[in-house]
Order: sequence, then C-alpha cells, then structure tokens
Amino acid sequence: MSSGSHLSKELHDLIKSIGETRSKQEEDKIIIKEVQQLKTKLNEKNMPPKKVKEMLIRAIYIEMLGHDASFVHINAIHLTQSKNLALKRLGYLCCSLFLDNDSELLILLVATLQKDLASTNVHIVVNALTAVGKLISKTFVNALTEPVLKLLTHNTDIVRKKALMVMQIIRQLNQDCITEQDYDDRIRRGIQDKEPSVMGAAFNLYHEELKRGAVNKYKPLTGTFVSMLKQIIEHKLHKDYDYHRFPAPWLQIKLLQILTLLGANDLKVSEQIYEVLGSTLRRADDTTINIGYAVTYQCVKCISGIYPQQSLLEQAANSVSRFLKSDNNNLKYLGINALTQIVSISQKYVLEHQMTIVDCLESNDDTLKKETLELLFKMTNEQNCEVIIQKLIHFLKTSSDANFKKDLFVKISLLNEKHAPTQEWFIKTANTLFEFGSEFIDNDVRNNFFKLLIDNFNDIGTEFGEFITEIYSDLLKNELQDNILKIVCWVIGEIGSQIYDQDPNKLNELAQLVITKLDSQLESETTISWILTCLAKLQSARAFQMFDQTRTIFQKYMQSKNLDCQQRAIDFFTLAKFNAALKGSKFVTVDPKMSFLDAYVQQERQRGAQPYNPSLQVKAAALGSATEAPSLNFGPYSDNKYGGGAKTGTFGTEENKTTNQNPSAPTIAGPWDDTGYNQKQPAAPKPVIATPMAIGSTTGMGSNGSGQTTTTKTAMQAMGSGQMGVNTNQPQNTYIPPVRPLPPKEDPNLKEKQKLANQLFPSISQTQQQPQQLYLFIHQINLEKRNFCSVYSKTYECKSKSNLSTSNLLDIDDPLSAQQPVLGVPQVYVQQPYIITQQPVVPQQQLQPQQQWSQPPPQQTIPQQQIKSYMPANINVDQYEQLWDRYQNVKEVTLQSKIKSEQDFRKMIQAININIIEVIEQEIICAGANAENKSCVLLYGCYNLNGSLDLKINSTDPKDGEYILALIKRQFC
Amino acid sequence: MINFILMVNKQGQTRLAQYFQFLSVKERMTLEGELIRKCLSRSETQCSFLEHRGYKIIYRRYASLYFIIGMDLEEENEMAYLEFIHNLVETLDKYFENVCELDIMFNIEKAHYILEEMVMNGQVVETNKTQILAPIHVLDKAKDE
Repeated sequence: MSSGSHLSKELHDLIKSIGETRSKQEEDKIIIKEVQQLKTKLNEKNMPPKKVKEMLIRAIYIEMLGHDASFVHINAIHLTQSKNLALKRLGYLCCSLFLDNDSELLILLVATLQKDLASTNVHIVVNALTAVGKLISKTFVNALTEPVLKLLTHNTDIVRKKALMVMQIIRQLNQDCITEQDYDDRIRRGIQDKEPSVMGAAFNLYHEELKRGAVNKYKPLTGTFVSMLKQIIEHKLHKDYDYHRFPAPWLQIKLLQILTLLGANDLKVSEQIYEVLGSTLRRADDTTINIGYAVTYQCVKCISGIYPQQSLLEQAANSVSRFLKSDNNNLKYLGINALTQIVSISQKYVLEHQMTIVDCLESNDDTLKKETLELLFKMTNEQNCEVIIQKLIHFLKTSSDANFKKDLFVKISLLNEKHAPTQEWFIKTANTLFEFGSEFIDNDVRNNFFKLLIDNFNDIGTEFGEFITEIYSDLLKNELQDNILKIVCWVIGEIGSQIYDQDPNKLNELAQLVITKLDSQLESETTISWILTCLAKLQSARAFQMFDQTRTIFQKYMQSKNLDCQQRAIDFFTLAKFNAALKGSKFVTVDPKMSFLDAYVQQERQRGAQPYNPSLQVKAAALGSATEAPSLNFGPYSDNKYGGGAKTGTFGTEENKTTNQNPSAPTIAGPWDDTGYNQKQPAAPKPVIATPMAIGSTTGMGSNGSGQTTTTKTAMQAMGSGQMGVNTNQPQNTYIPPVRPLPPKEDPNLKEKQKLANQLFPSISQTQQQPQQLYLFIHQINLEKRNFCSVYSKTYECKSKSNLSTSNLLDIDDPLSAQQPVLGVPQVYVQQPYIITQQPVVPQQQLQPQQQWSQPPPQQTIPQQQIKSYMPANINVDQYEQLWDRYQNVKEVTLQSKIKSEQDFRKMIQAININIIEVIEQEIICAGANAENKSCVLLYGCYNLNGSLDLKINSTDPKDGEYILALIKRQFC
Repeated sequence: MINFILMVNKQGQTRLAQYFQFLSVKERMTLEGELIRKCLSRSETQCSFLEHRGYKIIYRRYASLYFIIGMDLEEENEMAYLEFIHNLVETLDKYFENVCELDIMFNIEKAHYILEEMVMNGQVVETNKTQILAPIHVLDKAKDE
C-alpha cells in the first residue's frame, strides 16, 4: 500500500521529498515553502472536499515537523461538519492534533459534537466520542456530560467502551458532573458488560479510582475481579483477545494491578487472591515470550504488594531468579525492579543474586545501573551502609545527568543521616557529598545540616565541637566552592566561637583562616556576608575586644556597595559599641516572670480567655532540672520551686497550680514517660541562646534570611540525634545462614566483585529472618514502604526491632495468629463499650491545649461533652520516640476520612484534645494522656489529599488506642 | 498514563506524534530531538527503558523506525508497554500488509486513527486487532461512497 497512489501528485511529491531529506535543514526548507503555498491556496473558493482533506494532511506534516500552521485550524473545524464520515473524522483528528485544550476555537466545536453524539448513525457517534475524548475541556464539560452518559447504554459495544472512557475524563475534569454513587453504578455496569472490550475499558476506571485511594469502597468486588482473571487465564475469552496465544495479557495485567491495590495490608482480601495469583503466575511462567514475562513481573509485584504469603513469595523469588539470570537486559531490568519489591518483605532473597547485582552495578547500561542503585538504597542497613554510600558517591562523581545526581544527592544524605556508623564518618561523608553535589545545596539542605550539627554539639559537647571545628578549619586551607565555604563559615562562627571562647589565640587563628578567603575568588557577594558574619561571631566570643585586622576589614566593608555587607559591617560596630552595656549593664533587666504582661492577662481573662495551665510544662521542666542538664537558665527554674514534681511523675499535680501565670516554662525536659521519671537520660538539649553571638543574630546579623539564625529544636532532630551514632539496637536472635556457593564463573575481576558483594551483603545474611519471623516483619515493611523517606521512619524501625527481640518465635508459628495485631478490624471498635457522650472527668480548663493560654479558645468541631477524658501531653519529638519504643500496643489503620488538609487534621486532634507535637508536610505526630489513669497515647497520622488517612496509635493501654480510633472513625469518616 | 507516542526514524525525523497532554510545537520538537538522540546512543544489548525529563521512556526499533512511548514515572509495567508497541506494529502490519515507514507517511491519518482506537485518555483501551481495525474499515468504505 505504500505507493501513495491514492494521493494527488502534489501531496505525493511533498511526502516523498520529506521522506528523502537527509537533514533537518533540508526538511525545514521544504516545509517553509509548503507553508507559503498553503497560505495562498487557502484563499481559493469552493475547493472540492478531497483538496481540503489533502490540505489538512499537509498541515499535519507542517505542525509535526515543528512549524506553525495555525492558519489552517479553522478549516479543520469546518471539516468536522462534513457529511462524509472519513472527512469528518479527519476534521476531528486535526482538531485534536492542532488545538490545545484551552483553545478558544474549541467552543465552535461544541454544537457539532452534541449533534454527532446524538446521531442515529453509530459510526458518527463513535467518531464524536473519540473526538470528545481528546478535545473535552473544563469550559464545556457540562454541555457534553449528558449526551455521553446516555451512550453508556447504547447497544453497540464500541460506543459503550468509548463512552466509559470519556466518562472517566469528565470526572477528572469536574467531579460535580457525575455523583460518586452514579459513577460507581456506571462503572460496575461496565465490568458486568457482556462484551470483554467494554469490561476491559472499565478496568481502567477502577484502577484509577483505586490509585486515588478509594480502596475500601471496592473491596467487596474482589471476588468479581478474581473470577474474571480466572476466566481470562483459562482461555474463556474469544481468541481474538489472545496475543501470541497468550490470553488477553493486558487485561490480566490491569486486573493484577487492581487486585494489588485491593489486597494491600488486608489478609482477608488477599486470601481471596492467593489462588488465582498462583495459577496466573504459573501459566505466565510457562511461556518464554515477552508478554509472558510482563505478566510474570506483574504477578511478582502483586505478590509483594498484598499481604505476604510464603509459598507465593517463593514462587515469585524463583521467577525473579530467572529474570536476573537472563542475558537480556530488559529482563534483568525487570528482575532488579522485582527484587526491589521483594526486598521490602524479606532481604534473604537478595543473597542468591549478589553477584548479579554487582554485575549490574558495573553494567554499561545506565538505566540498569539506576535501578540497581534503587535496590541498594532499599537494602541499606548499618552494616553495609559504608560500602553502599561509597558506591553511590562514586556515581555522583561520575554521572553527568543532573536529575540522576539530584536523586543520588538526596538518597545519600538520607542514608548518611540514617545509618552513618560514626560522627566522624558522617561529617566526612557529608563533606564529600557537598563537594561533588554542591549545586544541590540549597537553604533547606544547609539548614538541615546545621540543625544536625548543632543538635549533636548540644548533646555531646566540647569534644564534638573541637572535632568539627578542626575538620572545617582544615577545609579552609583548600580552594572551596562558595556553597561549601558558607557551611564552613557557619560552623566556625557558630561552634568554633563557643568552643574557644577562652582561647584568644585559637580564635585569632580561626579568624585569620577565614580572612584569607575574603581575598579569594568568590562566586557571589552573599558569600562575603557569610564570612563577615563568621568573623563577627568570632569577635563576639571575646566581647569584641581584639583583632585589629578584623576591625580594619569591617571598616572597609562599611563602604561596600553591597548593601548587605555594609549593613553587616555597621551592625558589627554597633554591637561592639554596646556589647559591654549588653553584657553587664544594670539598664537591662530581665523580668523572667514577665510581670509586665499581668495586666493584659488579667484583662483577657476578664473577657473570658482561658487561664494558662502550665502544670505539664512545669512538670517537664522540673524533670529537666533534676538531671543537672545544662538547660535554659532564665531564673525561675533554679529556685527549685518545682523540683518536687519529679517524684510523682504524673500529670496535673495540684502543687503546680500556683504557677499559672508563668508562661515561659519551656517544653524541654529530661526523661519522661507515663510512669514518670525513672531513668537516667542523656543531657537535655542545651539552648544556644545564651551564647554571645545570639545577640548578633537577633539584632540583624542574620538579616539576609539565609538561615544563619541560631538553631532550635525541631523535627529535624528526629533525624539527627540518635541516628548519627552507632546503633547498637540490633536484633539479638539473628541467625547465620549456610554460606551459599558463588556462581562458578570465570571472571578476572571475580575476586574484587566477590569482595564488594561480601561487603554489600554480609549484614543481610546476619539479620536474615526465619520464614516464621516474616509475619513479624510485615508490619515493619508496610511502614517502611510508606515512610521510607519519612523523618519518622526511625521511630517505627526501633519499634519493629524491639518487637523482634521480645517476641517468642514459637508463639507465631501459625501465620493467622500473627496477623491479629497488624490488622485494624473496624467492627471491633463499634462494639466497644465506651460511651462517647460521657462527661469529662477532668475540669474543662484542664482540657485546653496549653498553647491557648493567651488566645481565645478555638472553634471546636465537636461539642465539649462528647470528648472523653483526654488531655494534651507536652513532650518533644525525642521523648515521643522513646515512648514509642517503650509501648507495645501499636494500632495501625488506613481510613477513608474527610480529612484533606492540615487544618482538618488539627481540628480532629483538637476534638480528641490531645497535643500536636510536630507537623511535617502531611505527617503529624501528637500525644495525649488519659485523664483518668494518666496512661499515655501517642498518635502518628499521615493524611493524603484523597482523604485516606494512615494512622498509627501507640499507647500504654491498648484500650485507649481503640477508643481514639473509634472516636476518629465516628467523627471524621 | 501514557503521555505521548512517537514514531521517529534514525535520522531524527518525526513520522508520527500523538500527545495525550498538550505541549507546544516548540516543546515537542525539543523533546523529540532529545529522545531520538538518547535512543540512538543506546546499543542493542542495553535495555529498552530509560528516564527522561520526568517521563519513563520505552522504545523499540523496527528497521529504521523507532517507536517511543513516554509515560508517567509511576507507571508500573515497562514490559507490558514494550509489547504494546509490538502489538501496535502488528496491527499496522495487519492493516497495511507489510507495513513500512512510507506506509505511515502516505497514510498518516490512518496511523493516527489506529492509535486513537488503541489508546484513550492515556490508557490502553483496546488490544484486540479485530476490534481496533473495525472502525477504520468503516471509514475506508465511507470514502469509497
């Protein structure tokens, strides 16, 4: 058919000449000429339809080859009104190729589309539906909804199929066009359609709904999907649907994707799937064609996505082995990806393939390498992290792909923060990372890093300070990129000045080093600001009394054209001038009780504001001072007034009520848990505010907003403290598997590869779990999958570890008994005998979150009397983590809720009357206590935009967790 | 979802392009140029998948013509789409009888129609060749009338 004889000579020649060009320039020349010709020809009147058609085909070429043919667009619209079916379709095709969905010309099409959708000629209807599918836009979705929905019951299958797909688009464009119920009904009729093609289209709609998170709603349909899959694999469909004798593979894949989403974290649903999944995999595995591999791969993904089942996992692992052993890189790619999935369930399957993985790392195929790195990232733990990070840094150094490097940069920093074996190693890795990925250092990265450093410095003290000052002053001797120089300046200014505040010589030495950098070639003037700030900080350590050289430099910058530098210089002298006054002056008196606010507070209380209830904070502060920690010393805590609280260790003790007017009680605290103070803890975080430079940073030295202000405790601490040190929290009952024979492969580099493999994998063999233990790990897996990059992942990791070390393996031989604590079975809560409308036990004022002491009470979404007796627990992230580790009553559920924003979430938390500790994007952690028995409740929630809500509740008393879940379900789902 | 399907020959000349999300003519040209250079730089033994500008790219070569699909990154089954390309080629072959690059050039609108039948809203709706070609044959008859 390639003669093109059906075309006019002109068009034929045009296409031929385009086909014969050998360069873009030649092609452009032809097209530009063509555009000119077309423009003149368009003015001809009464063109025969065939000519119009050819003109549009030329226009398709013009636009496809990168030129503008907008002058033809209107002709395309005219053509859609043609009576000839072929011309009409060409008109629609051109419209969909040429016009943007926002194009104003589209309005001209609406009437034609409406008319065609209502046509009695089925072919016209099909054409129109195809066009609507591509052209419909928000502006006229309403005008077309009705006619499209009508077609869902048309008696031609292709019309029903296309109408279903268009309905999906309509819903994507405007949710209000079709109610949820109506939509559900219609897609259900779609999968019940007697024509497999319509049914197949409906799978797309279900899959999309499930991806959006509406899982629970469709769980009852699992049986339907399972039986459909069963029929397909048993060749019940017409053989037209076969592809290379394989029955409807794309439908199989779609069904498997749907089942994966339905069965995730749900044993009951998964049990319905196991059988069909096993036979689908077996049948796909028997083939040696690509499409069979595709189905096998989807089966493996399904097996690792739903509630795990041992024999299926083995089956999946076998299939993955076949992929990995293949010489075909496409199959290897599938194998590595599938392994990444399986690793999240059990790391033992990696062992067998260690050499293949090392081979893939060395592969010349970038795509394969990237996927393998992803696998490494997922299997990193304390033992192999050094090797893996080294490997990743190697790729960071050698890669030229910016996206890839950015990804690597993020991954390395995460792994480093999470798994670094020592402080020194952490810092050195971070520096290498910054050196080779300096283009990715932005304010966020920098601030996070500073927070980590300062937190560690506060925790560990001088030794760490000296150590990092040493490392960073050494760096100054080399050429540095600006981004790194900024970090160095901050470290020396912030930490160096504190460490050596008694050692003028050392300070001078540091200052000299920093000053040399002022003369080097800098990329931007903001770096000078950083250097100046650093010098100022160093000066402030000795009350601005030394270093003439520095003084000269600041004098020079007083004249600087850069306003920021100039401002800093001026600030420096102002600070120097008033330093003495600030330090020892009698003019500055600090009123720790802030009594000047008393009148205001009185006034507000008379207007009905809630009184401040500091009992919890005071309690915490009291505990903090009991540990002799170097805590914030503003005065009122030193007089031992609240020291007595340490003994009782319960909430809201009466003795503290006298301190109602003291708003400055901070939330820092030492050890704290539900049973009170019972353990010697590391020093409480030491606020940095007391250092001399803090004066500078609060009076404008950090005025460029580049994050040089002194660090305070935030969520980042969860990443920093505790994770930087060596984690000795390893499971005790690890077992060492028999050494597996390595593949007998002659390779000159074999030894090196083996070495690398051994470095990468030994830890897995040690921490590998027995099959029975698998069920214990499921919990961890699900959490890790979701929270892999989450700041809080550590919390759950620790939880899982402790779970492992305390559980008796024999107790969970039966996998069914092991699933109980993991699954949240909704009915249980409904039957709980708690009475939600019970009157609060504690006085109302105690229920108020402490933040409201000076504000009017916020609007509550639930009447006060509905809330059972909970009260906020003011603990910080660290304490939250410690407590989480200690409690063993984790409830985990995913709910479909009304919560779609942080605001809603806060409302929910307020309704329960517990306390928000930290919010990071969509994750929120909160804590509260049962006012009756003082047992503690910890809540971690993650809301998704589609309304699904992942909740984990841990509590001293399991009943509290259940109660709160029931409350949330009743009020917010 | 599928974001675009391209047919580009070894010289980097686009023979067919269908986008399921709007890109301007200029953006399309740049993207197509970059993609064909990337595909050409890869050897036969390397795998047929890559990532580019936030798309997952799946490509397959037939003689001098590259078939390229660009998808969302979260799309799961690369192999299924690789075979989808083959199914497309088989369908074109069934319709054109021994399809070659010139067939697609001389009948560009037909090739578009076939794609439109197979993919809607970025999702695979039909893989049954008989079903795909039925409406196209109707159009052919309509033209003869």
